Amino acid sequence: MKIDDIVTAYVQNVGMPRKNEDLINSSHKSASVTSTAESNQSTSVSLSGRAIMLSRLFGTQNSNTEPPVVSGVNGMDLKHIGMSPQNFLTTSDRALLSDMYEYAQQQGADLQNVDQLAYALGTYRQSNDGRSMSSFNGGNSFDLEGHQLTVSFNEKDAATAARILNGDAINSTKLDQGFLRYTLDPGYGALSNTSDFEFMEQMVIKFSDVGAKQMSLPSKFSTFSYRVINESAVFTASKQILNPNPASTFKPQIINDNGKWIVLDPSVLEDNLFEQALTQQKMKLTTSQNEMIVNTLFANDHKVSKNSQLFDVLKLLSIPGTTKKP
Amino acid sequence: MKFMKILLPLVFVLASAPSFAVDAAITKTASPGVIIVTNGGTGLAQFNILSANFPSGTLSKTKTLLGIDWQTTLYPNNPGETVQLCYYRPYSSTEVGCTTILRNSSGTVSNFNTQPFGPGAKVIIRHFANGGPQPAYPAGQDTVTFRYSY
Repeated sequence: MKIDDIVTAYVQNVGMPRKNEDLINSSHKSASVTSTAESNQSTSVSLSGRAIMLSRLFGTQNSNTEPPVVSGVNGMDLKHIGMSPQNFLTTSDRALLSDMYEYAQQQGADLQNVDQLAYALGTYRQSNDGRSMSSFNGGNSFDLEGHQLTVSFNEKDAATAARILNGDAINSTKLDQGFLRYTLDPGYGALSNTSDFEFMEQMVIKFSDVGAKQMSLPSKFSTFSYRVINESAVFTASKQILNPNPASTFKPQIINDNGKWIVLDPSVLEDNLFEQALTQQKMKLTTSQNEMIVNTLFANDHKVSKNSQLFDVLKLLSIPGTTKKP
Repeated sequence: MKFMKILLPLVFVLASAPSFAVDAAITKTASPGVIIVTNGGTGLAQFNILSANFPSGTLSKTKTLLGIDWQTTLYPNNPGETVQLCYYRPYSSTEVGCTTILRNSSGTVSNFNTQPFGPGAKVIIRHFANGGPQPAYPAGQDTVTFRYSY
Protein backbone atom coordinates (compact mmCIF):
# COMPACT_ATOMS: atom_id res chain seq x y z
CA MET A 1 0.00 0.00 0.00
CA LYS A 2 2.70 2.38 -0.89
CA ILE A 3 0.26 4.61 -2.69
CA ASP A 4 -1.85 5.14 0.35
CA ASP A 5 1.28 6.13 2.19
CA ILE A 6 2.13 8.65 -0.46
CA VAL A 7 -1.35 10.04 -0.54
CA THR A 8 -1.48 10.25 3.19
CA ALA A 9 1.85 12.01 3.20
CA TYR A 10 0.39 14.56 0.82
CA VAL A 11 -2.59 15.02 3.05
CA GLN A 12 -0.39 15.53 6.03
CA ASN A 13 2.04 17.84 4.33
CA VAL A 14 -0.34 19.99 2.42
CA GLY A 15 -3.14 19.94 4.88
CA MET A 16 -6.48 20.20 3.16
CA PRO A 17 -8.96 19.13 5.83
CA ARG A 18 -11.89 19.64 3.49
CA LYS A 19 -10.66 16.80 1.32
CA ASN A 20 -8.88 14.49 3.70
CA GLU A 21 -11.74 12.22 4.54
CA ASP A 22 -12.68 11.61 0.96
CA LEU A 23 -9.10 11.02 0.02
CA ILE A 24 -8.45 8.46 2.68
CA ASN A 25 -11.82 6.78 2.90
CA SER A 26 -12.68 6.40 -0.73
CA SER A 27 -12.90 2.65 -1.24
CA HIS A 28 -13.08 3.07 -4.97
CA LYS A 29 -9.85 4.96 -4.97
CA SER A 30 -8.13 2.46 -2.74
CA ALA A 31 -9.00 -0.38 -5.07
CA SER A 32 -7.79 1.51 -8.06
CA VAL A 33 -4.60 2.57 -6.39
CA THR A 34 -3.78 -0.91 -5.12
CA SER A 35 -4.27 -2.43 -8.51
CA THR A 36 -2.05 0.09 -10.19
CA ALA A 37 0.59 -0.06 -7.53
CA GLU A 38 0.90 -3.81 -7.85
CA SER A 39 1.35 -3.61 -11.58
CA ASN A 40 3.63 -0.64 -11.99
CA GLN A 41 5.73 1.09 -9.42
CA SER A 42 6.42 4.22 -11.50
CA THR A 43 2.73 4.73 -12.20
CA SER A 44 2.08 4.91 -8.49
CA VAL A 45 4.12 8.08 -8.24
CA SER A 46 2.24 9.82 -11.03
CA LEU A 47 -1.07 8.72 -9.52
CA SER A 48 -0.22 10.62 -6.41
CA GLY A 49 0.46 13.72 -8.44
CA ARG A 50 -2.77 13.14 -10.28
CA ALA A 51 -4.64 12.83 -7.00
CA ILE A 52 -3.26 16.17 -5.95
CA MET A 53 -4.20 17.72 -9.28
CA LEU A 54 -7.74 16.39 -9.11
CA SER A 55 -8.13 17.52 -5.55
CA ARG A 56 -6.81 21.03 -5.98
CA LEU A 57 -8.22 21.89 -9.38
CA PHE A 58 -11.44 19.92 -9.44
CA GLY A 59 -12.24 19.16 -5.84
CA THR A 60 -12.30 15.43 -6.36
CA GLN A 61 -9.98 12.50 -5.82
CA ASN A 62 -11.89 10.13 -8.02
CA SER A 63 -10.72 10.11 -11.60
CA ASN A 64 -14.18 8.91 -12.62
CA THR A 65 -15.65 12.19 -11.47
CA GLU A 66 -12.99 14.36 -13.08
CA PRO A 67 -14.73 16.98 -15.20
CA PRO A 68 -14.25 16.25 -18.89
CA VAL A 69 -12.01 18.42 -20.98
CA VAL A 70 -14.01 21.29 -22.45
CA SER A 71 -12.80 22.49 -25.81
CA GLY A 72 -11.69 26.09 -25.96
CA VAL A 73 -12.52 26.55 -29.64
CA ASN A 74 -15.67 28.49 -28.76
CA GLY A 75 -13.66 31.03 -26.82
CA MET A 76 -15.64 33.30 -24.55
CA ASP A 77 -19.04 32.71 -26.09
CA LEU A 78 -22.06 33.00 -23.83
CA LYS A 79 -22.05 29.30 -23.06
CA HIS A 80 -18.44 29.16 -21.92
CA ILE A 81 -17.47 32.54 -20.51
CA GLY A 82 -18.85 31.71 -17.07
CA MET A 83 -16.96 28.43 -16.75
CA SER A 84 -13.82 28.05 -14.68
CA PRO A 85 -10.61 27.88 -16.70
CA GLN A 86 -9.39 24.59 -15.29
CA ASN A 87 -12.19 22.82 -17.18
CA PHE A 88 -10.42 23.72 -20.42
CA LEU A 89 -7.11 22.14 -19.47
CA THR A 90 -6.37 19.42 -21.98
CA THR A 91 -5.55 15.85 -21.07
CA SER A 92 -1.85 16.49 -21.62
CA ASP A 93 -2.06 19.72 -19.58
CA ARG A 94 -3.58 17.79 -16.70
CA ALA A 95 -0.93 15.10 -16.95
CA LEU A 96 1.84 17.68 -16.92
CA LEU A 97 0.29 19.55 -14.01
CA SER A 98 0.03 16.26 -12.12
CA ASP A 99 3.77 15.82 -12.56
CA MET A 100 4.33 19.39 -11.41
CA TYR A 101 2.26 18.86 -8.29
CA GLU A 102 4.17 15.68 -7.58
CA TYR A 103 7.50 17.42 -8.02
CA ALA A 104 6.46 20.50 -6.06
CA GLN A 105 5.27 18.33 -3.20
CA GLN A 106 8.51 16.36 -3.14
CA GLN A 107 10.46 19.61 -3.06
CA GLY A 108 8.36 21.05 -0.27
CA ALA A 109 7.04 23.85 -2.44
CA ASP A 110 3.75 25.54 -1.76
CA LEU A 111 1.31 23.93 -4.15
CA GLN A 112 -0.44 27.23 -4.78
CA ASN A 113 2.47 27.94 -7.10
CA VAL A 114 1.21 25.15 -9.35
CA ASP A 115 -2.42 26.20 -8.87
CA GLN A 116 -1.75 29.64 -10.29
CA LEU A 117 0.17 28.23 -13.23
CA ALA A 118 -2.76 25.90 -13.90
CA TYR A 119 -5.24 28.79 -13.87
CA ALA A 120 -3.09 30.83 -16.26
CA LEU A 121 -2.79 27.88 -18.63
CA GLY A 122 -6.51 27.12 -18.30
CA THR A 123 -7.44 30.72 -19.12
CA TYR A 124 -5.25 30.49 -22.22
CA ARG A 125 -7.05 27.31 -23.27
CA GLN A 126 -10.47 28.81 -22.50
CA SER A 127 -9.77 31.76 -24.78
CA ASN A 128 -9.08 29.40 -27.68
CA ASP A 129 -5.35 29.42 -27.06
CA GLY A 130 -5.43 33.18 -26.71
CA ARG A 131 -7.27 33.84 -29.99
CA SER A 132 -10.20 35.49 -28.24
CA MET A 133 -7.97 37.97 -26.50
CA SER A 134 -6.71 41.32 -27.72
CA SER A 135 -3.39 42.63 -26.52
CA PHE A 136 -3.62 45.46 -24.03
CA ASN A 137 -0.75 46.99 -25.99
CA GLY A 138 -2.63 46.94 -29.29
CA GLY A 139 -3.26 50.67 -29.18
CA ASN A 140 -6.89 50.45 -28.08
CA SER A 141 -6.55 50.97 -24.34
CA PHE A 142 -6.91 54.45 -22.91
CA ASP A 143 -7.47 56.22 -19.68
CA LEU A 144 -10.60 58.34 -19.43
CA GLU A 145 -8.67 61.45 -20.47
CA GLY A 146 -7.66 59.78 -23.72
CA HIS A 147 -4.02 58.96 -23.02
CA GLN A 148 -3.06 55.70 -24.66
CA LEU A 149 -1.97 53.06 -22.17
CA THR A 150 0.58 50.31 -22.54
CA VAL A 151 1.67 47.77 -19.97
CA SER A 152 4.97 46.05 -19.32
CA PHE A 153 6.40 43.71 -16.73
CA ASN A 154 8.30 45.05 -13.79
CA GLU A 155 12.06 44.62 -13.91
CA LYS A 156 12.09 41.27 -12.12
CA ASP A 157 9.36 39.70 -14.24
CA ALA A 158 10.83 41.10 -17.45
CA ALA A 159 14.18 39.50 -16.63
CA THR A 160 12.54 36.16 -15.86
CA ALA A 161 10.47 36.30 -19.04
CA ALA A 162 13.59 37.00 -21.08
CA ARG A 163 15.43 34.06 -19.50
CA ILE A 164 12.56 31.71 -20.32
CA LEU A 165 12.06 32.93 -23.86
CA ASN A 166 15.75 32.99 -24.68
CA GLY A 167 16.79 29.87 -22.79
CA ASP A 168 17.40 26.39 -24.12
CA ALA A 169 14.61 24.75 -22.17
CA ILE A 170 11.76 26.39 -24.05
CA ASN A 171 12.58 24.37 -27.14
CA SER A 172 11.92 21.07 -25.43
CA THR A 173 9.73 21.86 -22.46
CA LYS A 174 6.44 20.06 -22.03
CA LEU A 175 4.78 23.33 -21.12
CA ASP A 176 3.05 24.60 -24.26
CA GLN A 177 5.35 26.99 -26.10
CA GLY A 178 2.35 28.87 -27.44
CA PHE A 179 1.19 29.48 -23.90
CA LEU A 180 4.63 30.60 -22.79
CA ARG A 181 5.05 33.08 -25.62
CA TYR A 182 1.50 34.36 -25.01
CA THR A 183 1.73 34.77 -21.27
CA LEU A 184 5.24 36.22 -21.39
CA ASP A 185 4.07 38.91 -23.80
CA PRO A 186 3.19 41.74 -21.43
CA GLY A 187 0.24 42.77 -23.59
CA TYR A 188 -1.39 39.48 -22.63
CA GLY A 189 0.35 38.15 -19.54
CA ALA A 190 1.00 41.25 -17.45
CA LEU A 191 -2.68 41.55 -16.53
CA SER A 192 -3.80 37.92 -16.64
CA ASN A 193 -1.07 35.74 -15.13
CA THR A 194 -1.02 35.72 -11.34
CA SER A 195 1.58 32.98 -11.03
CA ASP A 196 5.16 33.51 -9.91
CA PHE A 197 7.20 33.79 -13.09
CA GLU A 198 10.28 32.40 -11.38
CA PHE A 199 8.36 29.30 -10.37
CA MET A 200 7.12 28.99 -13.94
CA GLU A 201 10.73 29.23 -15.09
CA GLN A 202 11.64 26.34 -12.80
CA MET A 203 8.82 24.25 -14.27
CA VAL A 204 9.85 25.08 -17.83
CA ILE A 205 13.35 23.84 -17.10
CA LYS A 206 12.41 20.85 -14.99
CA PHE A 207 10.06 19.46 -17.59
CA SER A 208 12.38 19.89 -20.53
CA ASP A 209 15.29 17.95 -21.93
CA VAL A 210 17.64 19.99 -19.79
CA GLY A 211 15.59 19.35 -16.66
CA ALA A 212 18.05 16.85 -15.27
CA LYS A 213 20.34 19.77 -14.50
CA GLN A 214 17.81 21.10 -12.07
CA MET A 215 18.24 19.05 -8.96
CA SER A 216 16.02 20.92 -6.56
CA LEU A 217 13.70 23.85 -6.22
CA PRO A 218 14.94 26.92 -4.36
CA SER A 219 13.55 27.00 -0.84
CA LYS A 220 11.80 30.32 -1.47
CA PHE A 221 9.00 28.44 -3.21
CA SER A 222 8.03 26.82 0.07
CA THR A 223 5.88 29.88 0.56
CA PHE A 224 3.55 31.40 -1.93
CA SER A 225 2.66 34.93 -2.81
CA TYR A 226 0.44 36.06 -5.63
CA ARG A 227 1.86 38.01 -8.49
CA VAL A 228 -0.48 40.87 -7.68
CA ILE A 229 -1.26 42.45 -11.01
CA ASN A 230 -1.78 46.01 -9.85
CA GLU A 231 1.69 45.89 -8.29
CA SER A 232 3.57 43.85 -10.87
CA ALA A 233 2.34 45.52 -14.03
CA VAL A 234 3.92 48.79 -15.08
CA PHE A 235 1.68 51.15 -17.02
CA THR A 236 2.78 53.90 -19.33
CA ALA A 237 0.46 56.64 -20.54
CA SER A 238 1.14 58.57 -23.71
CA LYS A 239 1.99 62.22 -23.17
CA GLN A 240 -0.47 63.28 -25.80
CA ILE A 241 -4.14 62.47 -25.96
CA LEU A 242 -4.38 59.84 -28.65
CA ASN A 243 -8.01 58.80 -28.29
CA PRO A 244 -9.96 60.90 -30.80
CA ASN A 245 -13.06 60.48 -28.62
CA PRO A 246 -11.92 60.62 -25.00
CA ALA A 247 -14.50 60.02 -22.34
CA SER A 248 -13.60 63.09 -20.30
CA THR A 249 -14.49 65.57 -23.04
CA PHE A 250 -17.37 63.66 -24.59
CA LYS A 251 -20.54 65.72 -24.54
CA PRO A 252 -23.48 63.52 -25.43
CA GLN A 253 -26.72 65.19 -26.37
CA ILE A 254 -28.77 62.41 -24.88
CA ILE A 255 -27.96 59.77 -22.29
CA ASN A 256 -29.69 56.62 -21.20
CA ASP A 257 -28.37 56.03 -17.69
CA ASN A 258 -29.55 52.66 -16.42
CA GLY A 259 -32.86 53.23 -18.15
CA LYS A 260 -33.24 56.86 -17.11
CA TRP A 261 -33.24 59.46 -19.87
CA ILE A 262 -31.09 62.54 -19.60
CA VAL A 263 -31.77 64.94 -22.46
CA LEU A 264 -29.04 67.52 -22.72
CA ASP A 265 -30.04 68.78 -26.15
CA PRO A 266 -33.72 68.29 -27.05
CA SER A 267 -33.04 69.35 -30.63
CA VAL A 268 -31.59 65.93 -31.29
CA LEU A 269 -35.01 64.39 -30.92
CA GLU A 270 -37.19 63.97 -33.95
CA ASP A 271 -37.66 67.65 -34.78
CA ASN A 272 -41.13 67.57 -36.20
CA LEU A 273 -42.62 65.48 -33.45
CA PHE A 274 -40.95 67.53 -30.81
CA GLU A 275 -42.09 70.85 -32.23
CA GLN A 276 -45.56 69.50 -32.72
CA ALA A 277 -45.86 68.36 -29.16
CA LEU A 278 -44.66 71.65 -27.83
CA THR A 279 -47.02 73.61 -30.05
CA GLN A 280 -49.93 71.58 -28.85
CA GLN A 281 -49.00 72.48 -25.35
CA LYS A 282 -48.47 76.09 -26.47
CA MET A 283 -45.11 76.06 -24.83
CA LYS A 284 -41.66 76.99 -25.91
CA LEU A 285 -38.74 75.08 -24.57
CA THR A 286 -36.12 77.49 -23.32
CA THR A 287 -32.60 76.96 -22.16
CA SER A 288 -33.62 77.30 -18.57
CA GLN A 289 -36.22 74.68 -19.08
CA ASN A 290 -33.64 72.36 -20.55
CA GLU A 291 -31.63 72.81 -17.42
CA MET A 292 -34.73 72.09 -15.42
CA ILE A 293 -35.06 68.76 -17.17
CA VAL A 294 -31.47 67.84 -16.54
CA ASN A 295 -31.54 69.01 -12.96
CA THR A 296 -34.73 67.13 -12.33
CA LEU A 297 -33.23 63.91 -13.59
CA PHE A 298 -29.85 64.38 -11.98
CA ALA A 299 -31.57 65.10 -8.69
CA ASN A 300 -33.12 61.64 -8.98
CA ASP A 301 -36.57 63.13 -8.86
CA HIS A 302 -37.84 60.92 -11.60
CA LYS A 303 -41.54 61.08 -10.94
CA VAL A 304 -42.94 63.33 -13.60
CA SER A 305 -46.33 64.94 -13.61
CA LYS A 306 -48.40 64.15 -16.66
CA ASN A 307 -49.00 67.85 -17.05
CA SER A 308 -45.36 68.81 -17.17
CA GLN A 309 -43.21 69.59 -20.19
CA LEU A 310 -40.81 66.91 -19.07
CA PHE A 311 -43.56 64.40 -19.46
CA ASP A 312 -43.88 65.44 -23.09
CA VAL A 313 -40.19 64.96 -23.68
CA LEU A 314 -40.21 61.57 -22.04
CA LYS A 315 -43.32 60.62 -23.98
CA LEU A 316 -41.48 61.32 -27.19
CA LEU A 317 -38.76 59.03 -25.95
CA SER A 318 -41.35 56.38 -25.26
CA ILE A 319 -40.93 56.77 -21.54
CA PRO A 320 -44.37 56.57 -19.90
CA GLY A 321 -44.11 59.34 -17.36
CA THR A 322 -41.69 57.71 -15.04
CA THR A 323 -38.30 56.30 -15.64
CA LYS A 324 -37.83 52.62 -15.93
CA LYS A 325 -35.12 50.08 -15.52
CA PRO A 326 -33.80 48.30 -18.61
CA MET B 1 -46.24 70.72 -63.01
CA LYS B 2 -47.65 67.52 -61.66
CA PHE B 3 -44.11 66.26 -61.28
CA MET B 4 -43.18 69.37 -59.30
CA LYS B 5 -46.14 68.85 -56.99
CA ILE B 6 -44.76 65.46 -56.09
CA LEU B 7 -41.14 66.47 -56.02
CA LEU B 8 -41.37 69.61 -53.93
CA PRO B 9 -42.83 68.02 -50.78
CA LEU B 10 -40.22 65.31 -51.06
CA VAL B 11 -37.47 67.92 -51.25
CA PHE B 12 -38.87 69.69 -48.19
CA VAL B 13 -39.03 66.45 -46.25
CA LEU B 14 -35.47 65.53 -47.12
CA ALA B 15 -34.24 69.03 -46.45
CA SER B 16 -35.85 69.08 -43.06
CA ALA B 17 -34.25 65.82 -41.98
CA PRO B 18 -31.37 66.40 -39.58
CA SER B 19 -28.08 65.71 -41.28
CA PHE B 20 -25.81 66.20 -38.27
CA ALA B 21 -24.53 63.35 -36.15
CA VAL B 22 -25.90 63.02 -32.67
CA ASP B 23 -23.60 61.93 -29.86
CA ALA B 24 -25.26 59.76 -27.27
CA ALA B 25 -24.37 57.44 -24.43
CA ILE B 26 -25.80 54.43 -22.68
CA THR B 27 -24.60 53.73 -19.15
CA LYS B 28 -25.28 50.50 -17.35
CA THR B 29 -24.31 49.22 -13.93
CA ALA B 30 -24.30 45.61 -12.76
CA SER B 31 -22.92 43.47 -9.99
CA PRO B 32 -20.60 40.61 -10.95
CA GLY B 33 -22.13 38.54 -8.16
CA VAL B 34 -20.85 36.16 -5.56
CA ILE B 35 -18.07 33.76 -6.52
CA ILE B 36 -17.73 30.31 -5.02
CA VAL B 37 -13.97 30.25 -5.00
CA THR B 38 -13.41 26.64 -4.00
CA ASN B 39 -11.41 25.77 -7.08
CA GLY B 40 -11.44 29.08 -8.91
CA GLY B 41 -14.65 30.72 -10.00
CA THR B 42 -16.00 33.46 -12.20
CA GLY B 43 -18.31 36.39 -11.57
CA LEU B 44 -19.99 37.93 -14.61
CA ALA B 45 -21.40 41.43 -14.92
CA GLN B 46 -23.54 41.53 -18.05
CA PHE B 47 -24.52 44.70 -19.89
CA ASN B 48 -27.23 44.07 -22.45
CA ILE B 49 -28.21 46.81 -24.89
CA LEU B 50 -31.98 46.99 -25.36
CA SER B 51 -34.17 48.80 -27.87
CA ALA B 52 -35.49 50.88 -25.00
CA ASN B 53 -32.00 52.29 -24.46
CA PHE B 54 -32.21 54.21 -27.75
CA PRO B 55 -34.32 57.31 -28.41
CA SER B 56 -37.58 56.66 -30.16
CA GLY B 57 -37.28 56.86 -33.91
CA THR B 58 -33.57 56.05 -34.02
CA LEU B 59 -33.65 52.28 -34.05
CA SER B 60 -33.22 52.11 -37.82
CA LYS B 61 -30.34 54.54 -37.84
CA THR B 62 -26.81 53.26 -38.12
CA LYS B 63 -24.96 53.70 -34.87
CA THR B 64 -21.22 53.98 -34.54
CA LEU B 65 -19.42 53.14 -31.34
CA LEU B 66 -17.04 55.86 -30.20
CA GLY B 67 -15.69 53.97 -27.22
CA ILE B 68 -16.60 51.69 -24.35
CA ASP B 69 -15.76 53.12 -20.95
CA TRP B 70 -15.43 50.68 -18.07
CA GLN B 71 -15.22 50.96 -14.33
CA THR B 72 -14.65 47.82 -12.32
CA THR B 73 -15.13 46.74 -8.76
CA LEU B 74 -12.98 44.11 -7.06
CA TYR B 75 -13.17 41.07 -4.85
CA PRO B 76 -11.14 42.56 -2.01
CA ASN B 77 -10.06 39.28 -0.43
CA ASN B 78 -8.84 37.73 -3.67
CA PRO B 79 -5.54 39.33 -4.71
CA GLY B 80 -5.16 36.89 -7.60
CA GLU B 81 -8.27 38.23 -9.31
CA THR B 82 -8.13 38.86 -13.05
CA VAL B 83 -10.70 40.76 -15.13
CA GLN B 84 -11.65 40.64 -18.81
CA LEU B 85 -14.05 42.66 -20.93
CA CYS B 86 -15.72 40.94 -23.88
CA TYR B 87 -17.91 42.48 -26.60
CA TYR B 88 -20.74 40.75 -28.48
CA ARG B 89 -22.40 41.99 -31.67
CA PRO B 90 -26.19 42.48 -31.64
CA TYR B 91 -27.98 39.20 -30.99
CA SER B 92 -24.77 37.19 -31.23
CA SER B 93 -23.69 34.67 -28.63
CA THR B 94 -20.13 34.65 -29.90
CA GLU B 95 -17.73 37.27 -28.69
CA VAL B 96 -16.05 39.62 -31.12
CA GLY B 97 -13.11 39.60 -28.76
CA CYS B 98 -11.99 40.22 -25.23
CA THR B 99 -9.36 42.38 -23.63
CA THR B 100 -7.86 42.16 -20.20
CA ILE B 101 -8.64 45.07 -17.91
CA LEU B 102 -7.94 45.83 -14.27
CA ARG B 103 -9.96 45.33 -11.15
CA ASN B 104 -10.97 48.39 -9.16
CA SER B 105 -10.03 50.68 -11.98
CA SER B 106 -11.40 52.51 -15.00
CA GLY B 107 -10.55 53.15 -18.62
CA THR B 108 -11.70 53.12 -22.21
CA VAL B 109 -11.34 50.50 -24.92
CA SER B 110 -11.70 51.29 -28.59
CA ASN B 111 -11.15 47.75 -29.88
CA PHE B 112 -14.77 47.39 -30.87
CA ASN B 113 -15.49 50.79 -32.41
CA THR B 114 -15.69 49.30 -35.89
CA GLN B 115 -18.14 46.61 -34.85
CA PRO B 116 -21.91 46.72 -35.37
CA PHE B 117 -23.69 48.30 -32.43
CA GLY B 118 -27.36 48.47 -31.55
CA PRO B 119 -30.08 46.60 -29.69
CA GLY B 120 -28.91 43.13 -28.74
CA ALA B 121 -25.26 44.10 -28.39
CA LYS B 122 -23.62 43.14 -25.15
CA VAL B 123 -20.56 43.56 -22.97
CA ILE B 124 -19.61 41.08 -20.27
CA ILE B 125 -17.04 41.88 -17.62
CA ARG B 126 -15.66 38.63 -16.30
CA HIS B 127 -13.96 38.43 -12.92
CA PHE B 128 -11.96 35.30 -12.14
CA ALA B 129 -10.89 34.69 -8.57
CA ASN B 130 -9.31 31.78 -6.77
CA GLY B 131 -8.15 31.14 -3.28
CA GLY B 132 -9.23 33.41 -0.47
CA PRO B 133 -12.26 33.01 1.75
CA GLN B 134 -15.35 31.37 0.39
CA PRO B 135 -17.59 32.63 -0.99
CA ALA B 136 -16.10 35.80 -2.41
CA TYR B 137 -18.21 38.95 -2.46
CA PRO B 138 -17.61 41.92 -4.77
CA ALA B 139 -17.00 45.23 -3.06
CA GLY B 140 -19.31 47.06 -5.44
CA GLN B 141 -20.55 47.08 -9.01
CA ASP B 142 -19.13 47.33 -12.50
CA THR B 143 -20.20 50.13 -14.83
CA VAL B 144 -19.99 50.29 -18.61
CA THR B 145 -20.77 53.32 -20.78
CA PHE B 146 -21.30 52.81 -24.49
CA ARG B 147 -20.55 56.10 -26.26
CA TYR B 148 -21.92 56.24 -29.78
CA SER B 149 -23.20 58.49 -32.53
CA TYR B 150 -26.08 58.15 -34.99
